[in-house]
Amino acid sequence: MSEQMVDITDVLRRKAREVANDAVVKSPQFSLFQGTQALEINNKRLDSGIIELSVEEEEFDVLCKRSLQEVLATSDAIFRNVFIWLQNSSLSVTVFSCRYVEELLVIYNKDANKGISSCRFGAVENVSMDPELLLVHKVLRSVVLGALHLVRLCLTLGQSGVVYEEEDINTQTMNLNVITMVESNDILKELNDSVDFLKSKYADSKDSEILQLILKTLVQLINLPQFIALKVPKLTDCSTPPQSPAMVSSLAALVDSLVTHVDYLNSLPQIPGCFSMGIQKRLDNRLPSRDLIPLKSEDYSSLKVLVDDLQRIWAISNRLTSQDVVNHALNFANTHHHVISRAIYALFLVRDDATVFGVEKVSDFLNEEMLRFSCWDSEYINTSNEIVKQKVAELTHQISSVALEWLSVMNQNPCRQRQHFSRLITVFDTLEYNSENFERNLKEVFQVNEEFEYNGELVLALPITSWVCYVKMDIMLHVVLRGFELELYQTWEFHQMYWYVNYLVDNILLILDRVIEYNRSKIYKIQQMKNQLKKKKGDQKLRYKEKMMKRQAQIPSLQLFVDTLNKKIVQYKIIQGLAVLQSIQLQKYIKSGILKTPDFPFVQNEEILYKLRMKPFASVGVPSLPPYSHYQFHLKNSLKQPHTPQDINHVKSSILSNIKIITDGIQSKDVTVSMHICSQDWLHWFRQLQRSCIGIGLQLQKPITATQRVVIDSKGFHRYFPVVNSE
Amino acid sequence: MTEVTYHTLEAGNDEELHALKTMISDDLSEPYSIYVYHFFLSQWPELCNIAKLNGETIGVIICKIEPHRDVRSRGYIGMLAVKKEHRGHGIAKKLVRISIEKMIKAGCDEIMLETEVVNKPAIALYEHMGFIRSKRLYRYYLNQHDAFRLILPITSKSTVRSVYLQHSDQLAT
Repeated sequence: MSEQMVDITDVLRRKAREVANDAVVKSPQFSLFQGTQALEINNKRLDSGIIELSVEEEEFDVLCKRSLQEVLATSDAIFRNVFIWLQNSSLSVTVFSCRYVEELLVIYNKDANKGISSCRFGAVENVSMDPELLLVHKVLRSVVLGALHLVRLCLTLGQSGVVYEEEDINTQTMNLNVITMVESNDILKELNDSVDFLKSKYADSKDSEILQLILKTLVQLINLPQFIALKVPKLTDCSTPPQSPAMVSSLAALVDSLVTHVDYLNSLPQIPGCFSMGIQKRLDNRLPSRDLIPLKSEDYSSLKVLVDDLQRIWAISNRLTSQDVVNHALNFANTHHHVISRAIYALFLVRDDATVFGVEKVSDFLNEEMLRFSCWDSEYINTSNEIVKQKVAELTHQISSVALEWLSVMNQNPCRQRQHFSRLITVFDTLEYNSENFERNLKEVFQVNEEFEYNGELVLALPITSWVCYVKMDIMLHVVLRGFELELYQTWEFHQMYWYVNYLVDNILLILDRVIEYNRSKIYKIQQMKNQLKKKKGDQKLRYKEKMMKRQAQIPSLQLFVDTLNKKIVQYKIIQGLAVLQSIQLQKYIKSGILKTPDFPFVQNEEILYKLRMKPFASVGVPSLPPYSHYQFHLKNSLKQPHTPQDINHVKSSILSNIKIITDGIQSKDVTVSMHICSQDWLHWFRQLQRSCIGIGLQLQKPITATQRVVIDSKGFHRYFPVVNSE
Repeated sequence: MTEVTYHTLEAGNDEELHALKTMISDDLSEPYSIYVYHFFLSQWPELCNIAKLNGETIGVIICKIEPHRDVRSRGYIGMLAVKKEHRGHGIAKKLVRISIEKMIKAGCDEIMLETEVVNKPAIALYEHMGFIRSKRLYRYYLNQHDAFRLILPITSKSTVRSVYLQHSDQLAT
């Protein structure tokens, strides 16, 4: 017996005699919950040791020669399996299920320090003498190396913390080292050598041509980390946008070409036994037994999605302002992406050195955002008091870390986005509280008076707090609306949620109006300097004139920000209009009795359901969550006073004309709309809103009978505003 | 016709345990090991309820109760299965009702479960009891389907973020 083994037979027998019937035996250090993660021997669904393999699988020979077509079919299958894996499958049922991959990994893992020289399928003599042996031990080997390098790269991205392991990407490697000690340059050389070999030995063959496409695509994918490191300076008005990086355009061309061969590739027979569940049986498998995923489930379309995503990400090189970054990020969050693009986007957007796109600090990005919103030409910025400047910088630093969290939500999957946003509500609420105390303190302690006249009263401007409060409410709105997208609400909840949307937008509009007035007051103050100038004399007049001219130079920017905020108002009014229109429709259903809160057997009262649904918003100071009685009061009143067709037409036409304002702005690249980047996505977004408006409008014209039931129709409509039909 | 009877799993009844394991394995997409059953059954045997017809186990529900972040008591429905040929007769509904009643009696502030987004009958069953969808969980199951997390609020503790319940507990002490 080995020195490391201990015979426990006697102990086991003795202990077993002491065990009572039906008792669970466990160490006190071990909880039964830990046991739930365990696999079970002899359980068909869990024990991969009892997988039965065919003769072809058992006797598969990785050393023998193969034809060009066989090598192409296998290379294609390996490559496609990388993308099947990235659709949240495990490596054991995808890439690793290929016998060539398994064999190479097993040999490599025995002596990983030797690097690429230990990456082989086994020992074969006189390989260089036989082209069909070379096809296996040179070409196919390089495909395996390229695919594994790509896997390793994706694993690194998956483990970088920007996407969720096991949820977004399955990172279990069966305890195998995925060629981490092999230099990428060595692999690139192998891939390029294989291309040269195919060109020289199989020059006029279609199979060779497709195989070369696969090899070249792998080369470009291996270069992906270079993309993440690209610095993207902000454009100025006169600079020309940089071209798409060569690697992205080459990749796009290769993938377009590869996609045209999918039907042919699908027609190629696979070598029997080449892909097998055997690895689950032979190696360290911590997952339940699972069947292999059919190859046809991936037709390179997800590779195409990845390439399109890279182009979309690169589109940010057209940015002029921080608002462009925000809208680009929001658009990224709103659209579907490959998991690798989601990881790349996060790392591309905020770099390890805490810069945005490798060129500006997150705090500078945040400063620009706040300046463009409310802080431009404010006393905090213009003050010569160094202590105030220092204190403002400290607060901005605090806000920067939260802004960073906001940015890091954008690459998450849709479910996680809502969860992160929900958590950020309390973070921003606390920040707002701190910020308001800080700004009030500035007035009381440092006499920095940031006041303006609003609704006939002199009020504190609170520019920083206004921004924080605005972002918080916008996040709250996202959380509510994404609930519709994720189908979290039952139809009987729709009315109260659209009512809450309306309430939130009311509050957002209030703060935007206040900030616009504040910005206008700054313009007015500058314009009034002319009158003061007239009263000045001599040197004083000269100095004042200089100061006035400096301040006057701020007016165009201030006006631009006012216009930008007005465009935001238009966008919020679209959302509010649709919420109102939807509410009118739902009220009709409620009134006719076909939509009501069911009588639930275990629910104390409807209020507890309202409170549970509104839990993410309950702790917010401003705007406070209206009590359930307010909602009931609103509903009761709305049912009493039905809307006239004229009211409905007015709501509809306002929505449609507001949508037109924004879509015109997108098409004309209006800087106050700031949606010129990924403009097609934005146009689609607003056209979907338009469809919802028309769809709900049409539904409103239909008569309702008490025997009908309500059904949700989401297809073709905006994800936040599905049409509630009656049938 | 013989009545369906409902009772808790009999301790040490291997036949019943085997029957419910088979039923769950046939019905649910997730594979569960014997250790998962032991986790539930040895700690909350009273919350494993089975439905029988003529001595045959035709339905099962397995639940647990645990504190959630030390601020509220959370009941959890882990597994529910009814044999295909006996569906549509209210057996699942009855099993859920029995469990909920027991969990309420045991002082739960809320009852929670996850179910596949595509499992419309299960979602409808729970929603008729008053469960609401609190979260959507991305690719939650091994078969890559998303899940809904459903919650049935029993007391007002269920409606407050746990971090604030922790604060109020700290203030009270």
